[in-house]
Amino acid sequence: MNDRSILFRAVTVAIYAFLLLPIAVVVVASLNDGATLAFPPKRVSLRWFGAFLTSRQFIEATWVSLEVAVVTAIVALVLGTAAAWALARRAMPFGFIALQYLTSPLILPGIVVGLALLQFAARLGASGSVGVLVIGHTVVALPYAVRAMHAAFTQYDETLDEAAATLGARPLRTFFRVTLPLVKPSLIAGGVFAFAISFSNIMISAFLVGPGTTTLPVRMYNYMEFSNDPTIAAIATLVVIAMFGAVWALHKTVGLGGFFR
Amino acid sequence: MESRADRSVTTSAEVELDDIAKRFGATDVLHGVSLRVEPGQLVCLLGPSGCGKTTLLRILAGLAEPDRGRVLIRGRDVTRTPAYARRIGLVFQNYALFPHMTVRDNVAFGLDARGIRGGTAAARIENALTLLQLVGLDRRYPRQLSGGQQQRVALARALVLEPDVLLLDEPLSNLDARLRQEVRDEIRAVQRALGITTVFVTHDQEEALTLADRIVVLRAGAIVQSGAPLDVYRAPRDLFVANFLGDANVLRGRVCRAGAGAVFVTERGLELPVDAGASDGAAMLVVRPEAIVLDRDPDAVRGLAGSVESLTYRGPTIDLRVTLDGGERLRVLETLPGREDTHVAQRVRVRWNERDVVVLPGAASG
Amino acid sequence: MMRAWLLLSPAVVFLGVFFGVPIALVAATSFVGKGGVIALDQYRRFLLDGFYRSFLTETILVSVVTTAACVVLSFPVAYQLARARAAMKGVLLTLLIAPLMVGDVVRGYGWLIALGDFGVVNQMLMRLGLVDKPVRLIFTPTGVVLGLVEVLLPFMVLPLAAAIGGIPPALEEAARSLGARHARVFRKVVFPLSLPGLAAGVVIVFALSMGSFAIPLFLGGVKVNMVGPLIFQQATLTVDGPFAAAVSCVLFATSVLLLVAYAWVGSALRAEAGGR
Repeated sequence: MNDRSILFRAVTVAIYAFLLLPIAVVVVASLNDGATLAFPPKRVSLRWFGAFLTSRQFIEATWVSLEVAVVTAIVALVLGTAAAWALARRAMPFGFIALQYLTSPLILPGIVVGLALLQFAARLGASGSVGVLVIGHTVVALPYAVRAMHAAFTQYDETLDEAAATLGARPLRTFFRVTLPLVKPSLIAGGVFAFAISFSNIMISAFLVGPGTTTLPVRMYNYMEFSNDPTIAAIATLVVIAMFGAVWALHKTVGLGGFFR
Repeated sequence: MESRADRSVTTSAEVELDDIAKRFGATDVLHGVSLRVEPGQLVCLLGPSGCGKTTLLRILAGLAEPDRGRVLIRGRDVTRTPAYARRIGLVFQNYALFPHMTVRDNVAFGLDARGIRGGTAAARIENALTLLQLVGLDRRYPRQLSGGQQQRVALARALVLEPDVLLLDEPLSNLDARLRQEVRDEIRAVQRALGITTVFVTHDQEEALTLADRIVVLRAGAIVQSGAPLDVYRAPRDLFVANFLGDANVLRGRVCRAGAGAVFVTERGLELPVDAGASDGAAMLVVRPEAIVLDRDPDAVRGLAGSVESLTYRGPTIDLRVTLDGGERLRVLETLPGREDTHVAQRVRVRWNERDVVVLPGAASG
Repeated sequence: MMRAWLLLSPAVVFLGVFFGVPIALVAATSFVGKGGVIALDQYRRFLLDGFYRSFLTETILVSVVTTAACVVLSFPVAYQLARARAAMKGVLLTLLIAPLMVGDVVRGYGWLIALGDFGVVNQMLMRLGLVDKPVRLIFTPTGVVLGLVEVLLPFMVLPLAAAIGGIPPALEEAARSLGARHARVFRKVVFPLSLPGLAAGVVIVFALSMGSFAIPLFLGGVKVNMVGPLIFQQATLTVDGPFAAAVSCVLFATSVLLLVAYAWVGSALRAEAGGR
């Protein structure tokens, strides 16, 4: 190793520090004892966590977010896995275009999706329902599911499925006993990511929430508008812990290969 | 499914391929191949890469559908039957063991698919494991096994289902030389013990010669010759087969009648007696390196005169290049004992037994 | 084959109905002019009125700067990630992916605190002696860029790291053994071969920053005019459906153009890489 390597590493560490700056700030700020946000905190306490846990509105919003996220993850995975399998394992005409089409919501502006669904739902009289939220979130989460599963299926060794066939297994049995278990890491990674995308989503939710179906991020934003106390920081810290924990658990169990494309 | 008693006398073949043709995109990979395999036979499909042998195997297995022709197993037309409904076992070149299952679960997979579980299944699994010497390894995962062990598991997994036909794709090519001999003997022993009709595919002539009861040589999607290994080796029907199986010295010339017999005249005018049955016209004389006898006696008069151009020791054998006085060059293979003094430029006389040469019609091509 | 179509259709239909159709409706709405007639009024308003056009130009400017900054910053990180040993890779990936999953609200809020006049950034600057009094960062384009770069950096790092990961280390070692110094190795070996990944990252980051909403809203407020918050404001506060639709369509069109450009460049790059 030479000098340059140390400089290089230092630069990388600095960039990572930059990357984690707002998160670190939020965590520290949540330990504030005072009623207004002071940074760094003068005295430390966990009272704002308590404020969150005792707030009916926030707890309700958390439940809504959880509900929507779980359903979104399932729907996105089912749709995405089926589509990814077809695209990866069969030479489909326009297959490449279909893949781009299915992953397009990734880079097409989420805000436009939100607006579009708002106007669409309004016409159908369905605005503000949990169903619309799930649909909106699934549109945004589907590309991640498709990408993760498509990569998994492309890398999959097809002779394994052929072997299963020669051993007398019909296609469905082969899929559930052989294929699926072997793509489990990508399935789980895709599912967790879809869940997180939905849970933390503000762009779509901001348009589609209604009375009784407010998600946590939207509730947080509304609160931020008129109050300066660190409750938001406490909630944010809990989210940070949950997400970091989930990713770390993924890394320790099935590995993070599913994201690395 | 017909029982053996129902079948007519003429359809006694275990496997029958009838005029199988297959095209991939713009290329015809198989041009109407027909083949019969008798029950209990170990048949080898031999040929260079791209000759269609693997495609043929896959069609037999049900993993590919022919564009034309029929596949019959035990008299039953299975051409349109998918792989999972055929009673075949296939051992893949890469073994295709399920990495997330133990050896035992791998072997049990097919039985489970058929609804055979519990005691019956356990007994059959034990038999298969014992037959393939896998007892004690049953709780391991494929990644914990050596190449040879993995192949045995693949075999056990296929055989436990008692298929009508066993198919093997390049069974020895993934193994190192040392292991090949062992595994070859094992496959032979198992096949004999079970009496199971077996078809395997390879590009390696040694594999073909040592394992098969019958060799089917394929080239560019068609069968060029089929027969017992010794027959195909000693009597190749064309130059391609002669060169593919073993090595061959080829002399070009023509056959002329000479009284009651026939004579082969090389391009350079050398006259060699050949079997009276050889037909007139342009021909090629093929003689194997090991069939050539070199007489080192300086006083010898029989045979063609020549000298040693180069020689290579190969342990038990010597590999020589001999140039005849007439200019023809021959490769000769001899066993070492007694011939250690052979040297370059040594004068020799080249002889061979008429029985050991083959005369092939036509000008040399390919 | 039949089965393949059956498996592909649900996802395709789902997106068609809940993505394609709504977008088409938005497009249709955008052509509603004053008095309800079909006209290009909304587009004229957005593109010709100086005030509204400044939203577009500011958004483009911010996006360009953000993307450029991401390109520069992501190379070291992507390179380390691609060449890291397995154990380290897990840690690095976690640190990269977890922030993505935490969401814009959390990160925006963190930046809000960090960029304040007495926030972390200013405190650090003053402690390092770089400035005498706090620099105004909140509600400035600089603040928005900072926030966007931080949020979007992983989107550039991941495809870039994947591309660099595909470059055999042997190539770099060969270049070094021929006497090339690090900068040269980078310029001649790493950079050209990582272009496909870089292109993917650039497209993603630029598109995401053009359409960004939460960060510009939190950190830009009313002082920084970006298209995302504009759409939201027009749709929910002033409830001007057609205008919001028109702005959205312009934004959407730029993203589609980007996608097309990327596909075109991408295939050209792939063809060239294949030839090399």
